[in-house]
Amino acid sequence: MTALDLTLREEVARPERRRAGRAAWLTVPVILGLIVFGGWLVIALTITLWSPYDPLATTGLPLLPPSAEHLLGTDALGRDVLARTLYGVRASLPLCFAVIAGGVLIGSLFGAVAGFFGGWVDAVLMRITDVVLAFPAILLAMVMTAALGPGLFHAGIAMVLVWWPIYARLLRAQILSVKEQAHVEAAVAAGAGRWRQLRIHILPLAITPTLVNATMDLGQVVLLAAGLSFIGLGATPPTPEWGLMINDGTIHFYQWWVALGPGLAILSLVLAFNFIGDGVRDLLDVRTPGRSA
Amino acid sequence: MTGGRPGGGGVAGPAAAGGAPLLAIRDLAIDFGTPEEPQPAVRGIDLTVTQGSTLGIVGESGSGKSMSMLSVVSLLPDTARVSGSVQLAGREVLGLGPRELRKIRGSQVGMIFQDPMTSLNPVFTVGDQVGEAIRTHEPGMSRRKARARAIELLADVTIPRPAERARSYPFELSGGMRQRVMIAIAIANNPALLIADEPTTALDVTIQAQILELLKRLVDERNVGLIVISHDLGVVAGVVDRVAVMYGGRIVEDAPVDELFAAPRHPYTRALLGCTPRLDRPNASLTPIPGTPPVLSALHGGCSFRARCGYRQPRCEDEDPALQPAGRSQAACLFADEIGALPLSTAAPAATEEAAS
Amino acid sequence: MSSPATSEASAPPPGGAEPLLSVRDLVKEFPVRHSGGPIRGRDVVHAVSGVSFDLYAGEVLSLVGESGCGKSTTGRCILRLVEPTSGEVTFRGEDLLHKRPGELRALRRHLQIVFQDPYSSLHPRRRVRDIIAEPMIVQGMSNRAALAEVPRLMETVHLDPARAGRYPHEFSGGQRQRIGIARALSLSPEILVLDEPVSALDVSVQAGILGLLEDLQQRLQIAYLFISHNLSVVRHLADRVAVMYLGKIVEIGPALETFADPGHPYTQALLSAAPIPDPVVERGRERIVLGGEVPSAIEPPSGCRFRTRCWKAAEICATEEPALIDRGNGHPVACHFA
Repeated sequence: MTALDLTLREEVARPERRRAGRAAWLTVPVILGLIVFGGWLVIALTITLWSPYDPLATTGLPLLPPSAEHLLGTDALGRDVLARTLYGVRASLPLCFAVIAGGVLIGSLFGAVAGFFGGWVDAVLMRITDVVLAFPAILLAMVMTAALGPGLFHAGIAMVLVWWPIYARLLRAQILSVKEQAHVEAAVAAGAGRWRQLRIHILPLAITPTLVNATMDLGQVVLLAAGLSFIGLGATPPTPEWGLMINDGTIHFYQWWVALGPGLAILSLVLAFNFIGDGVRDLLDVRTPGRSA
Repeated sequence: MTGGRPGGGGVAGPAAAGGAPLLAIRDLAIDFGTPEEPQPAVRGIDLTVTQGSTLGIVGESGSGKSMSMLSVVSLLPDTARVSGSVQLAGREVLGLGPRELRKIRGSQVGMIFQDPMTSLNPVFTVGDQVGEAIRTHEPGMSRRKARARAIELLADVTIPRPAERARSYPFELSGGMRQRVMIAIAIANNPALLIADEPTTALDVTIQAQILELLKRLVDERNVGLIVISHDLGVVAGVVDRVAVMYGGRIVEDAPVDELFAAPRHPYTRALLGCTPRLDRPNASLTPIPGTPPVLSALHGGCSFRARCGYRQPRCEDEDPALQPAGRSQAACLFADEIGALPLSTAAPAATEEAAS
Repeated sequence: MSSPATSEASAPPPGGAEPLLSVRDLVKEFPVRHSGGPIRGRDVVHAVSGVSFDLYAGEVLSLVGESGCGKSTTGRCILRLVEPTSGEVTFRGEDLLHKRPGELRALRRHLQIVFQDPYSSLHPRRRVRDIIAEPMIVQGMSNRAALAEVPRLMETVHLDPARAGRYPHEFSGGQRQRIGIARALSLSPEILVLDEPVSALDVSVQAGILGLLEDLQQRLQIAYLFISHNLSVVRHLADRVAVMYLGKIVEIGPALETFADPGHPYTQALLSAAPIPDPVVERGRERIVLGGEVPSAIEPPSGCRFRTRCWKAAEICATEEPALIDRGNGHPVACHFA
């Protein structure tokens, strides 16, 4: 313990914590992130109602620079870039949530069983995890699309397969440390069965890093999905998807606006997720009191 | 005092020339917050330590005892705002630059920390670490000489087979051994002042006895000043000449050790003695101190101990007592003389506030 | 290695009743993992090496010793929080060590534990009322019935029942320890294992908790197995005391007698080393300062394990392990020269 701990250590009955103004975890970046994410969510849900142009239709001359009519110009097929950018979120957002949900669920299952039961169960599960972890994401995606055919859905499956090992390890590590804590022993002493120990006494405390990580990873999935589409393994034309659009943009390099829309979109969404992830971490830390001194 | 003493290394460093005490702290205050939201840890203390004397600082969590001593070697966190004066052998320490501080730490003041497990670097052998302490202040010394001197020091702190032990890593040593290594590092450059912050709290009681004997011997042999910070009254009773009791960031009583234990003049000291179990008086009843240590930022006016004091009077609400001297003792209580006259076995009269603890 | 003398190790309080809990030849060995390198076969930590004692209803038996002596492990073995390597633990005649999970659960209500660390022994994200109600719910009580018991339990430990809806971090260390005690009492156990219950608390708070424990013990007549390294605290509270060193009990007897006239050199050293808050007394004491360090529990010394630090050690100490029997002190002592 540092001397600082000795002095400021919690030996005092704390009065009710009244936060003046906003909560400590709601920093400016977090609020920004929430606003941006909220904005994209609204767009994803409502764009069909108010989009100025049909993203799939040719609505102007090809490769027109940004103007009053087409705020981000048009692409090689004369489609409005802004409309396609905004529609793009409908591909990315559900995908990233689905992938993370799948990865976290599968990974956590592995990790929880391995961490809690230990022994050979742990060894076997972790070796499987190690093997899968060794696969490069791109390679696996290629194998998947070769086997199942192209499309964002199959790319999504590939991504889930690539992602779950991280969560397995994460939860296992947490469970290993939480299950040694005294309050778990207390539950055992009272006669709690294994399931109860896990469900009530271990998991709620072990899950925190997983949640923080998952929030940050949402951005990573967006990036990976765009990357896969960029190399032709994800979405297929004419779907308005950011990766695909950036691919188009590289072909028409001097028509910089074609890639600008999707590029900014990815940037803003990933940053938003990162900021929110920071906030989630602070939020969960704040509610978890100081660990045993 | 400055004559050479046989054995036991050199004479303690810059001697108290011209009678200046080794350590003189005046009005030291440490705060961790901002001017708008202060979070005081130490609220103005005065302390003096002379050569060859031993001082015990006693207090519980949150009393500020460790903080105040960290300020002597300027090892406080960056967020600390310090005011007041801390003088080592007549020289002001607060506000010195890093280079000057480095010269002081280790050569004028040696610190022994509480937890030897985390205070020693796990990737260097103990011989290297003691050697490093030596060469920090004598950069010209060769590695070999430093190693030889390190082994001497390890022997001095009664580590068996010191030459072999010097090649061990901290994790290979027991808690007691590690603490001895810490002490060796602290005395390596013959500082005039040793500060031991809870030196035995993490140790078993038989090892504690060994370490305390070692500290006493070192004080005798080297004529250094020693400050022992502890929450354990028993540890302090057996080692020091003088005791300062801290509560709520202030010194509430400062007295020679015999007087403090025989006739404490502050109700907190009395209460502490009254709730400490004694091996030689198993049937004495223990009277807990109701309430909890104060949140320093919430203290306003009046005596900081009044909420938990069994002798509380109306005056205590408004007047914040300064230390009232009486002979060689002082106590920060408006009724210090009366308290001091009470026999120890008398219980405190007043019922105190909600015993929340 | 069960000796007939173990019945002496548990001199019953007057009444000669049957012991509530009987421990015989308890052994716990932990395999040592060598980081890196192949598993080097048989290295084990001999945490508990043949401990035997009885615990009678309503008494306070204290296990004292320094770190590594095996006292905490013994306490945990009794509750099967740690599975013993061998030995017998009998509660009211029922063998605890070989019960199947279902039967064990029913018996658990009779033996509960209070932990050392008030900060990690309470679930940080549950409300206090749920923490205290947990054992009752686990044992089959309905949520509602269990929660109805909480206010009474909180009052028993002098906590304000109105605060039952709060979280642990809103309480001080001493209060959290009281919550832990309330939880342990919720099943009305007959035996309470207390593992250093006040060691992590400030002295001013300790006295309050000790007072509470004393009071509860007398009122509810619970048997305590009080594990501690602090002799002053133990002397204050215990009826009988068992001194442990490196996995073995070296002396066991009535607290008053054992502390007043210790038979075993280690007990003498422990008592001599315990600090007393009185400078006059401290100056006048004859201190026994033990040399050396505690030997490794992986390779404990042959014969008497204390011999490496004992001033009385002779040849016989290395070859023959002294049995825990009465050698004229009035209670069992494991020393050839007691």
